[in-house]
Amino acid sequence: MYTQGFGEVLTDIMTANIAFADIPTASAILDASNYTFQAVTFGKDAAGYTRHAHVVSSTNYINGDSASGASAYDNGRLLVVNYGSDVANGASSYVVTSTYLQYSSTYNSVPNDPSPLDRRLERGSTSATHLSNYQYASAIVDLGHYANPAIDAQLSAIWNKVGGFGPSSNSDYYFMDNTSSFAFSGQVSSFFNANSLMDKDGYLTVSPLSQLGAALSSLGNPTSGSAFSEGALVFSSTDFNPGVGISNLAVRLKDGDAASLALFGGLHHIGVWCLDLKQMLRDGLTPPFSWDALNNTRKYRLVSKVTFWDNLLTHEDNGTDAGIEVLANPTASDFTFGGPVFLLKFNFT
Amino acid sequence: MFKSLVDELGIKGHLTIHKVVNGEEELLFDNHNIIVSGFGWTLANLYGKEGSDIITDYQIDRFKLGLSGHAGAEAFSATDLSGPLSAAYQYVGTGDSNLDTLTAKRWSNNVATASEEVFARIPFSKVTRVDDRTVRYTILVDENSCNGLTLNEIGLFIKNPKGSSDETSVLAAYRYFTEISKSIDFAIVFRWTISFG
Repeated sequence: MYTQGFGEVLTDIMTANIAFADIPTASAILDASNYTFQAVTFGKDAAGYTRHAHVVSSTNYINGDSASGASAYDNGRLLVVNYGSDVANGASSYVVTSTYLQYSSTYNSVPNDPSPLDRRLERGSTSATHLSNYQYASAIVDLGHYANPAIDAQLSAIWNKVGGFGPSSNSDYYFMDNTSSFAFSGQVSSFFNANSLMDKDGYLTVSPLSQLGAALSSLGNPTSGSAFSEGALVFSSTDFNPGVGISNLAVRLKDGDAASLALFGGLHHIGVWCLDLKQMLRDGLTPPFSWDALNNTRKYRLVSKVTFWDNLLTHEDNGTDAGIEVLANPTASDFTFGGPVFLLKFNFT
Repeated sequence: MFKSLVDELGIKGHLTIHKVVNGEEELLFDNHNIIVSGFGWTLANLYGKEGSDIITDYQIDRFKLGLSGHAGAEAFSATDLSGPLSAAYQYVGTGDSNLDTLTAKRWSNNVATASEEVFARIPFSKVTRVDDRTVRYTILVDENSCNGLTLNEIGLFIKNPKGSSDETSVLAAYRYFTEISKSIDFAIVFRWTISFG
């Protein structure tokens, strides 16, 4: 769904002053990339930001100790209680619907219906209010979507509770079964953070090298890194190309990014953002607006969003293959592109 | 559901036409207009990164007037006017016209025309941001322009969305209107408002 923000971008396009072309210091304002898709965000139901792996346990589950787990925020580990551990193919997968069921009397797990008036993915607060006693709690921002605290100097220590993306390498996750007993553990590594593709507020950059004119099948494979290593990807194909009024944007959740989002309650919204050029100019920022994941000065405007009732990261065990482990550490045969790929098609005609 | 941009965002156009005599305006026409497929085609090229690198190439900066408009021509698939003026002198006549004509090729169903066609320019000073999602184009056809012609259609064109070396425009919006026999006795003002949701 296009939002009113897209209408504002179109108005900016139609009224961009051509006189800037004659001012060397301002001519970059007329660069078309300032008006195209520049970021993607991921979200879920608002109430879910204090559930699932976000929960601060009253018991330190690790090693089965009953100790000061609440204040220690589970010692930096990504920990989740899998209430669906006894359902078919659910022992080693996070069965998010079982959590919904477990807390059905107090947890409204339904994401907002999308509206053209939306300025964010979820209208309700997505702030981690349950972490208010953290020393840098003021750094936790109500974004409306998943943040990326792992690269935030003040929040990296509690990335495992703020969610939804982990550090670039080898962070532990712990699975508890429906009796809160330790089941198994593993590790997640964030592809987005390893490649500096996402800022601390969860904005995944769109690849600047997206003018591919290529079919998705030719964009590489999981072992070569592929074009997805530059971020979300604009591409065209035979059936869906600008010549027939359609553009495509593909997003891949690779490795620990898919797994950590699944443990934090999954994925129900995907948002597409353009630059908020007017706001940036008001803030004294002038183009070109280079991408810097650690110090991203870009301001964004939501232009499109898609919402699903179902969790896009629903998974289950397959024989001896643990569902969550396949998401976290897939082999070349698990996914054609190294992880689940979400293809957004924009019909402009 | 895979809805189109125009339907989903509620993009609408509205056209008023006034006859101007001695500074007094008389309303001749007041109705909606058709946003045609070329508008979305342009955006697909911009957002598919297959178009021009300069944002002003995606702007509506020119128009055509025509003589053979009819209701049937108001189709989403339209790529040109039914009977567009084909020579610069038809726009500017022999007097001191306010219109500035130019020639360019035109996109028609993703194919550029072989030859150039005549357009009239919309000065940037006549492009007005009405609010955050509304733009108005004001086109003045003065007393010295288009005289002796019976006008009944108009189209707005986007400049050069593919950044072609031979400037190639595309129809973005179209409207057929009741016939106006233009003479030196009056000017015509077209006020075309497009709301992007």
